[in-house]
Amino acid sequence: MFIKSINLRNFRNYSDFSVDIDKGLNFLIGRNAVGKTNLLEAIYFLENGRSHRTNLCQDLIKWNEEYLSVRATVVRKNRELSIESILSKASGKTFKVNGVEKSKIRGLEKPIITIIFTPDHLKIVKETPEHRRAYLDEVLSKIKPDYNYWRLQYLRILKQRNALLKKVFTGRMKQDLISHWDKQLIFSGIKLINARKEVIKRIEGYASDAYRKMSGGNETLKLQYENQVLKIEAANGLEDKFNEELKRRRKDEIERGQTLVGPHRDDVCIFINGIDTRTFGSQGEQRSVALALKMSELKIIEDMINESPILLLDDVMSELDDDRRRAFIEQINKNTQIIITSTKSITISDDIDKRANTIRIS
Amino acid sequence: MSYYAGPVANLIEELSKLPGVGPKTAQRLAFYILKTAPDDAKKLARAIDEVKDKIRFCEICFNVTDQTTCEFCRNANRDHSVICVVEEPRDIVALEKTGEFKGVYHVLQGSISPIDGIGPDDIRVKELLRRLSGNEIREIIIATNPNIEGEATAMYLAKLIKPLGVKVSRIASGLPVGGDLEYADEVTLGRALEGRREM
Repeated sequence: MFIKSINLRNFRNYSDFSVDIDKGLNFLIGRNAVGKTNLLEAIYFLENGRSHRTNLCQDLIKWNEEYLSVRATVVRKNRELSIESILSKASGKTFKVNGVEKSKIRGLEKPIITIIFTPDHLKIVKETPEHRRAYLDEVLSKIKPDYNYWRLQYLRILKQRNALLKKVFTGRMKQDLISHWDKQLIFSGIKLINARKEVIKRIEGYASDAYRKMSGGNETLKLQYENQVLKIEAANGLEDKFNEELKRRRKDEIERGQTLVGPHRDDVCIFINGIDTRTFGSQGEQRSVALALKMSELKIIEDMINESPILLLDDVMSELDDDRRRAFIEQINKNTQIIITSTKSITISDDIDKRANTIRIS
Repeated sequence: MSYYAGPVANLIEELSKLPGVGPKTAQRLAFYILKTAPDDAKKLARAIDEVKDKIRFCEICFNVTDQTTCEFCRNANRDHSVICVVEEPRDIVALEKTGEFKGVYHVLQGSISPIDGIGPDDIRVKELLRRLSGNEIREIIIATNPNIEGEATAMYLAKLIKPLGVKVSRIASGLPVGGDLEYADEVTLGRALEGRREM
């Protein structure tokens, strides 16, 4: 699938802006603050009805204007679709496909699917476990229609259970009530654990392949799912293990007023040649790993919809060396539309530069 | 600061305490009341007054009633050995519309929710147990909402009641009847699959 052309009205710094986009590789070149990221944000908004940068949608509307619209012609399997997303201060969001208003399109049913990479995604590799959990959740909510439901369900149970633990500690509620929440915590928790376990395997498969190519073939990337319940060595089923671990930590849980067992404490360890990337990886390695993770997301979705989603790369090439840059682009299917922002022109290889389209914004 | 004369401001404030009514709706309702004929406004006031005065909870099942017991508990034609446990009186109305249930009810008046500080002692659980001890009860059907609080309440009740030798069942959740499979959302369909039965 690819975006043939896009029009932005009153979106951030744009009043009325149209541009044609090539179906393959596109470089979006311009100085700082001309609106390169805003254009990627507009595409993200067209897909998701929200921004990847802010939760305040109103901020997307140009200063002193009443509404914004993003309109694009998208080609999917030789079919042309006209997609429009409007946000108005007075009447909220409207989403139209070929002029027909649509509500609530989720997951892979969406008329346009993108994978976005921004410098923020480095946090997946560098920072605390919650960033890695958020990444897993993001991938899973795209590919598993009921994942988000169970995730929200789990969080709600967690909130109730934590409130109960605090009340048990102060003696306001009885301890034997906890077990009734355990059962539900385990039920939805296991759904999350199984989904994550499976998706990590799939991510690892593609990401290690992508990483090997980028590193010149001598480094191996491994992902290890860190979950307390899965770690328990016992012949019992997951449900029993989860239950036992909750019982074992009960006293601690009551004292701290917090649920200490479950997928909300998951992490994924990332190893390069057996060494933990988060603590010991170089900047370049961490950046390559983050890109490899995004690449796996692209491939997983590609497998599911039999089409390449659109890849949006915000300012990532500048910090990669020439070899990694080339290896990254070369492994992406030529039919994938890629939009890369940069402050200056990029050269990759004669072959690739020849087929690349440059869009200059000023 | 209030822009309205005292009594109007009072009315708006009282109305905005109602569920689902925000300050703007409260304002609209208040001005509507202000415009209506004095008789109509008085009727509304009287209705509110009466409901608080005359309506109380059934001594047996805690449904709302204007007598000491509710119409279901008084009705000798209903099966008093089967009790359907619900969270709120309005759930009885929903169940009665099915015409399927011939037993009696028990209204918990809430569900267990630690976030809101509501434990088993804050809903009508003790009263349910008291009903079980005195009478010949065959079955308890737990019809609390299929959300996590309703589920926790159901589990709590089942654990409490089962040892007493009374059959405990939980209403099923799944597909709406008369609908097509393709219109069901993933979660509902998933649940229906989990709760499938052998034929």
